[in-house]
Amino acid sequence: VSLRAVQPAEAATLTLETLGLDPSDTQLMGEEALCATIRRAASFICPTTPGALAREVSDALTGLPTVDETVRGRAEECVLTLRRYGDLLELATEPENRRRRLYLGPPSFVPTGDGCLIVGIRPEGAPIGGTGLMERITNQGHRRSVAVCDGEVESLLAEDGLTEVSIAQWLQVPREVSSESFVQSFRARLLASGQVTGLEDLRVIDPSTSVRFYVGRWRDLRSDDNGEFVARRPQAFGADLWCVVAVTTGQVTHAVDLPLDDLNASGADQALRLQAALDNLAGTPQLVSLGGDPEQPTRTLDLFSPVPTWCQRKLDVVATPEERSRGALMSYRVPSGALVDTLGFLEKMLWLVCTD
Amino acid sequence: MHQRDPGHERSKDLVGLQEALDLRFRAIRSRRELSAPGAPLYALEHGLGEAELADVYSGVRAAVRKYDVSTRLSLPFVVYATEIGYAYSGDEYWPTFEAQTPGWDVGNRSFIRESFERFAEEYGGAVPSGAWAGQFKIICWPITHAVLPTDLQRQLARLLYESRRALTAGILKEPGRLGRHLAARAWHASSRFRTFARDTDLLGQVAAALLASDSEASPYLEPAVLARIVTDLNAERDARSWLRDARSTANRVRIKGLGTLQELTQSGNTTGVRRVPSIPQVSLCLRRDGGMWAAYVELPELSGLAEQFPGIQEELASRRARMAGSERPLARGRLLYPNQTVRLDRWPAPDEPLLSLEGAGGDVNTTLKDECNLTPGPRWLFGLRGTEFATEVRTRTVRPGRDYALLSDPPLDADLPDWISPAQCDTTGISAYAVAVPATLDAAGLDALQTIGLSAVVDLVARPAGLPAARWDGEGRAEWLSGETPIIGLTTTRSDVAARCRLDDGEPDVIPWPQGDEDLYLACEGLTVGEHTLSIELIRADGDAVLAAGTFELVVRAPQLRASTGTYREGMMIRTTPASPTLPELWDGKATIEVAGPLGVAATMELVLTDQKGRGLARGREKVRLPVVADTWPTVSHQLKSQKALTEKYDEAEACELRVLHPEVGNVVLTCAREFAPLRWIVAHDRDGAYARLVDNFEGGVPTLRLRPFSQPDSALPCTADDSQRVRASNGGLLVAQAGDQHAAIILPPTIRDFHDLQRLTDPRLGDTPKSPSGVSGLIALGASWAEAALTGDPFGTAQRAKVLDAIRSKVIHLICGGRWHAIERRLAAADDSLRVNEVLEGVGAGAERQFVLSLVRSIEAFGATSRSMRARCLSKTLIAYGKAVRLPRASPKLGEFAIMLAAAPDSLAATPRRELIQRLEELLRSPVVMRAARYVELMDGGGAMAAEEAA
Repeated sequence: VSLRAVQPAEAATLTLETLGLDPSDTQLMGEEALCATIRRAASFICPTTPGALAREVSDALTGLPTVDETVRGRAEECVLTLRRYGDLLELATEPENRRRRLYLGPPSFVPTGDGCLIVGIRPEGAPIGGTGLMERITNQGHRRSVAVCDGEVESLLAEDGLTEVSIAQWLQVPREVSSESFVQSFRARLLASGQVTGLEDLRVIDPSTSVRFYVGRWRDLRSDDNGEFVARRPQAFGADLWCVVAVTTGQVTHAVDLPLDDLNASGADQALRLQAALDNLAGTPQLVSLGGDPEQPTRTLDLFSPVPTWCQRKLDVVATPEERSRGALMSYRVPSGALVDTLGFLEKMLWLVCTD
Repeated sequence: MHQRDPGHERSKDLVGLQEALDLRFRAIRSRRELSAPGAPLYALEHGLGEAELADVYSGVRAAVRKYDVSTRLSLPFVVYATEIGYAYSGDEYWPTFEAQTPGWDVGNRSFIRESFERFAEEYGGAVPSGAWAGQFKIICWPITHAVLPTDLQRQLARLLYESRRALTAGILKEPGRLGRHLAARAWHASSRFRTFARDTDLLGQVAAALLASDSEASPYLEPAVLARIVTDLNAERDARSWLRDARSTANRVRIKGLGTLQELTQSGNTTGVRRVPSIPQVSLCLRRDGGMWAAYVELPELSGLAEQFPGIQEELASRRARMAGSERPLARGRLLYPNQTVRLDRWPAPDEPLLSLEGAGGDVNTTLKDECNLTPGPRWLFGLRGTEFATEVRTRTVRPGRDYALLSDPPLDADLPDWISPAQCDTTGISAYAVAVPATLDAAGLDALQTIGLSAVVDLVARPAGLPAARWDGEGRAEWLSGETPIIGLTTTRSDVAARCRLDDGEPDVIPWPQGDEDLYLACEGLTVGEHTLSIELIRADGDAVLAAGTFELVVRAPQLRASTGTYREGMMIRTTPASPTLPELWDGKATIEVAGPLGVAATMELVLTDQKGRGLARGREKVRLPVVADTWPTVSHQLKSQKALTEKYDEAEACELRVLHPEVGNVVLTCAREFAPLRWIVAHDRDGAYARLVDNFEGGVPTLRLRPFSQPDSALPCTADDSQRVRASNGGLLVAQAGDQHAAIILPPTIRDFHDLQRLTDPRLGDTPKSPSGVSGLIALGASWAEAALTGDPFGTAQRAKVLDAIRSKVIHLICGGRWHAIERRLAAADDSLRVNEVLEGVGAGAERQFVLSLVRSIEAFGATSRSMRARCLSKTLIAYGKAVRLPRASPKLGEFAIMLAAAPDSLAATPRRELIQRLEELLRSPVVMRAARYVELMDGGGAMAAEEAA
């Protein structure tokens, strides 16, 4: 037994090694390390809220090399990314209230062409698979994958108890719809909801702010606010609740909690798509940006707002997550051959406009 | 396949075999005494090749045919019986043995035991131990000497794999400890495996041998035996992979030398051991609801206690638990699931055991008292996590500028600083306070904290850094898993300082603070399983003056095992009452299954019946809405069991898997197997209809067989098995096999092939019964014998049994309530429209008796008493008020509950102590209006809302 002082860099190295990452090409603030740290923390503290999970991670990493004051925000984003990816599930399990908490996603794999995506978290910090499988898994951002699913890998997946989820089942892409009719469906529900008063601590997305800076779009309600807003309000013991509110002179007159209809659908997914539709109708559609050399076999695709689960999963299948570009919220490396389809998908489903 | 001893002479006669085996076993014994003194020998280590084994088989069979069974030539029999033990599966050892040994006489069973006893004496052979060995005094020998029967190998491989991360070097070194360690984690395995695991020495030796590195020969088993087991395991892909990973982890642990505090203390490597917890500690937390705090206890998984207290798992699995301060008992088996959170209605008294098991022995409850307790009071500090939740801070240290909640018993003195103020608490017997520690604590503030038993840490913060801890109370205590290197980050805003740190009782180290940096990181390497204390003093760099001081508690523990039924951290989890139910318990409705999961989500529940080899026999599926709770389980269960494919195969099934599947939420599985029992009936069908076959593993004599026909449920007719050991009765009934103190009962269904067969079924008719306490108690016992008998998958058998139980209840009602009331009930049962409510009330009683009943009804309505226990309480209270009026001025306080249960299901009272039973029945016969009132209440809603009560 020994107690010794370690340099911050060594502390970071020890942490990365224990998380199963290579300290020589990974940094604690990188998405791979943050996601691995979140998975580790989640395996011990779920069920929990996204905020508590992000706090657990940022508290542990604060002060170590490359970790700056944005760590809490980055951890929160990564928690949401992992929820969309399926490593975490946000579920309502208590009959007496609507509160939703994060649970561990089941160990599973999604076949994607030659390879497969690895999804899920085991409790108690246990690795997702045995030695054989772990040696074959590649971490790229939040995504874990096996490049080639041959017979041997299939055996390992079965031995380690990972359940197969078909790609269609995993993606669950909703039907295509125009931004007008999508917004209209929520307006109808808002009107039918009846008058409300007394909603407190509401934070809304300001539609007049730049669609290039998602975090900066959130603010409290102001007395001159009018119209429909996507909003969130805090919940005791649970994740913040997404909602849509109708506001007149800064007062909420109607409100509908999300998700609509299915309690275990994702409120965030509905809200993010609705915001994309609202932005499109306001003439300031959300953006997707392409980077890199068009002559190269891959291009960088940058997103500036979070996307719904089905959209992120689609990107996880066709592209590779990479360290986000400056100013972007998420970045992917897309094979040039898949570029047209991918951009088309984003345009059809989320009304995104590409700025090449 | 097996090594051949160089001196072995092939011989087809028993004498030759005896001599060759004698030489062989003596050689092994000599080697064993050198490699592992005191370690036993197993008959499976015979080392015979296939040809030699064939000689043993033919030699033994020839000897049996010639009645030439002699203790002088017992070794071939030992090997023969062992080989059958190695290969058989399920629970039919003797039937398998007898089927393979033509001419074998049941009376020769004791010869097998004598042969093994002789083997143990002569060669140092293993002697079976444990409760199972006490019950199956003969079978235990060949099963033990088979080391690891084939159908248990997969389960052991899985257990080794799942437990691999909890292994330490010390555990790996000592097979006995390894066995206890694994047995404590096997509570969710099949009942046969749990039985095997009770012999922790054997389990440990086999496991140690399987986990031995490739380069290292096991001192406990001959290489050939180990190779044979590994070969058999390798035949199955999953098992091969599990074993490979478990071995690989064990090798790493050996190389790293990871151990527990105790291990290192014993080897003198460390000092200052505080505690090596058998289980994680009980945690406290507060939740605020409606502005009031309420205290909650979070219980750890208690199965780990079995490592130090063998046998406690059975108690935990089978008894209800009581938690001090909580009114509701915890269902049987619930303590085996980790992280049960229980709300405290009342704060437990200081000397009150926090947990106890109803009806358990003093030793068990003493263990629970010692191992599961709250932090000693009289103050409990909680750090706020948000505004509505707070977790206990065991170190009772506060930091400036932070908010806390404090519980105190007795209340604090009134003279408090204004930042400590009373708060509302919904848990009675304790006072709550809000503690908003000022950002700057002056001397008066520090004094105030000290007065109430708290301390403050200023200028120094310690926290887990880098890897998030397995648990962190936000203040001064964190947990890690064994094998991990905790890194503690220290922070101070002071400059020119150093940290004087001491881990446990070791020498203090003075560590200079990095120049210009607020943070200092400490790596705690080689920490052992247990609790450690890191004492930190912030001192001046140029002197000894202490500027700040604090302690940090590090807990290192083994990871918890994940059961296939899931954990509460996942989207779905199966919980059962009792824990690990058997297949008949599941099928007969004696076990309750709950599935926690996302509200309203539709999952698939699949029941797969499997045979002795684990092959699927039948599969049934149902869509279920989550969660499945005790109230909804009976409906789900009924829907599943009604599926023809399942009912047809149930009687052949050895086990089942109950799976709950959802593509996104998960996949959890409960496995239930039949228990190894001395006597068990198997019902099957052939061309002639249903028949029952007795699996006779009883070793104390020949069972007697009796049949109670459905038509005359109180008669018991002798019956016999035919040449193929089958018992038939075309009209079915209750079939009982009795031998010594063992019995097995099953409902043999009637054979129904056509409408004519259906018409043949008559309603049950009971003989005369005296109107006396003993007469009624006889009916209660009769009802229990029918209710407790195992059911088959046949719906006609289930329906006929229900009729019998109805008839018995009707008879009890007639005897106690009288003919007039009985006639009213018959009209009610026949849905007689001419029956008026007033007539029913008049039937209960007139005058004061009627007032008594009306008062009871009002009481039930006022309390909204829908469960039987609530109604029983209402009846007891009404009896106190109306005791004289109903001629029971001093009615027993338990009479209300007794009457309600007798009115609903007389058989449920069969376990009541005889004296108490007679006394209650005397009271009811003296005042039949009480029973009529209980029946009236039961009929109010047809008894429909009562099922949930039993499940709870």
